[in-house]
Amino acid sequence: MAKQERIILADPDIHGRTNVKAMLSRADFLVIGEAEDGITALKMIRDRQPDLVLADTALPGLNGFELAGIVHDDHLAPVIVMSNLFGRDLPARLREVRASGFLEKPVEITSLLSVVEVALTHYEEVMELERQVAKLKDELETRKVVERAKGVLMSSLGLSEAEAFRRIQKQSMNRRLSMRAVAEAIILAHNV
Amino acid sequence: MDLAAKQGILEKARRLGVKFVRLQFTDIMGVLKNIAIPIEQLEKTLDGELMFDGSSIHGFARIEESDMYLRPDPGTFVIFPWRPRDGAVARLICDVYNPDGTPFAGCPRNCLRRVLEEARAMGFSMQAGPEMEFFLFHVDADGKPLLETHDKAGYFDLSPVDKGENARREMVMALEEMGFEVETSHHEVAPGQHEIDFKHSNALDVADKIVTFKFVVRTLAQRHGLHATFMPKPVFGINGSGMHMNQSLFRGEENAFFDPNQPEGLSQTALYYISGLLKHARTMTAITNSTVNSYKRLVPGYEAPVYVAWAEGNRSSLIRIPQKRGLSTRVELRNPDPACNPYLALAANLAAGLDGIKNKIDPPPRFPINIYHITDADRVERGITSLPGSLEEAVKEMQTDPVIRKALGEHIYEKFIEAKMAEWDDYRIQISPWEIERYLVNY
Repeated sequence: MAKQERIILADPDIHGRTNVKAMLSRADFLVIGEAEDGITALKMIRDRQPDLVLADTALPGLNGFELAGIVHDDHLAPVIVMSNLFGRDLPARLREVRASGFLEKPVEITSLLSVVEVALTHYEEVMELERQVAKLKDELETRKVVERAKGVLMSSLGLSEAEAFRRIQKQSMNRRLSMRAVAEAIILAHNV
Repeated sequence: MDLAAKQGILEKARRLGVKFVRLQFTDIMGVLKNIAIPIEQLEKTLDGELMFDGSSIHGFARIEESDMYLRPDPGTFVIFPWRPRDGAVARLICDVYNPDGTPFAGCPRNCLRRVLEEARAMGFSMQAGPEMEFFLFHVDADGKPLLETHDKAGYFDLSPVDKGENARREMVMALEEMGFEVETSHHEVAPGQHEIDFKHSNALDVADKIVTFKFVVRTLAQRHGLHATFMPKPVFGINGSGMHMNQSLFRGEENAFFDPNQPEGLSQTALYYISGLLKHARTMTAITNSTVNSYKRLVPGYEAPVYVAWAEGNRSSLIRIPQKRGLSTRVELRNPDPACNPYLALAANLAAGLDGIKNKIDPPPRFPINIYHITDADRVERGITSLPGSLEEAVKEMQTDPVIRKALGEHIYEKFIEAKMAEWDDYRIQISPWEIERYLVNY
């Protein structure tokens, strides 16, 4: 069976929720939670970690934009904002909170499914890129530190570059520490 | 401000993409105020040229003398860690100055600086470490705080974890990113009650950290759909929230409270300091426990102190001496609560301790047994007094003490008493649910 994406629906209007939930279920998505207000929705999202959130702008307590903002900031899930009003400032607000899409209400099946698909794909890509960036940053930082530690060993112990690298690598294995931790310790010890 | 510090901040702000800076200061009641400025204004502000209208801040100034200037303290520059979308937001804590360049007498931070300066003239610096307790409550659908700490059945049934734990973990992470060294963080005795302790530091830095702490905890609670409160006693029948204040004096790098040649390891300075705290305990309670509600925490039976006494390990007394010696030798004052103004509380504590040192007051005998368990007559015989029972009593007590008055300074002293008596009068005329329940039917 294909992966069923898990969705939380936040909408004060029960008819709106029933309608959207029915369409999502027929399209094989799993609606794992429904909330009538923004605060309940926020707690539910933190708790159940859905793949996607659909939020109406008119949620009481914490409106759909505020909810989308927090959910985006904390990297919890993509949020599609829904509303039956399309005001002049809406595009700017959607952009401000980094919403993953917009649906005009009443929601129609074709726009629902296409917006949901695009949001899921896009978010997954962005997350993957973020992971890669974090990994690369870490590797770059490790390389810089190891270079410096090699320099320390080469000048203080008169080792060749390869020997210095081997030393760090061996300590890392023997002590079950990362290369970076060993390199940092060498630099620290050298500076003392 | 010196050029290097200024350049350092401007450079950092540029590198981290700061778009807005919040300039923070507290009013006399300890409420954090802030003015947000766009990054373009930062340079001018660092030169101390940002003016604001002081008359609109509680307990600050009269209309005719309302122009005030903010002087940012460069050491307090931090970036808020919650992830920004459009540029980062930073903050600077500020001292408030008069237009003529003198420190404004109504600025609590200036007040603490003044008392710290007095200590410095005697050769001392003050270290302090607070233990912050607070409650996390749920909010209703409209965002109004409830006194509920547990989720309604069925709401969060998929998760076995307390919602508060997650929120607290994120609070600790955010605080650490802002330069706090969090020592412990744990669930407290009462349901929904949490404690976070951070590493001791010099008194001014600690007061800054306390106001920052409250702001961070409240903000992050809100982002988890919870409400954090530092109200001293929100629920009858369970422990209230305290802010035990560990304090010590240093002479240079040496802890002035430690003396390895004494059997207890406590120096004469420590003993005098303790005497000073005990002597002024009743008269500075209005500062350390500054709300009507504070006095509902200071009742027997809930780990809060009631009696003016000191002991090594006994937690029922006002002052406890933790076991640690050497650099960690310290006294723990147990009555302050987190609703107080930390600048004024530390200023009052320090002034009281210094008074003990100046006048070489010997402390009363220490009191090792649980004071809750002895009779009133016994207590009177031993000369153990109680802390004030109400805000009114505390304010009246404060008015009898010239040392505390001097520590606060005339401006803060007067505004504080005026505001607190008004608070008391407002409370006094209310009819509480307890009265209705007790009297409505019976009389």
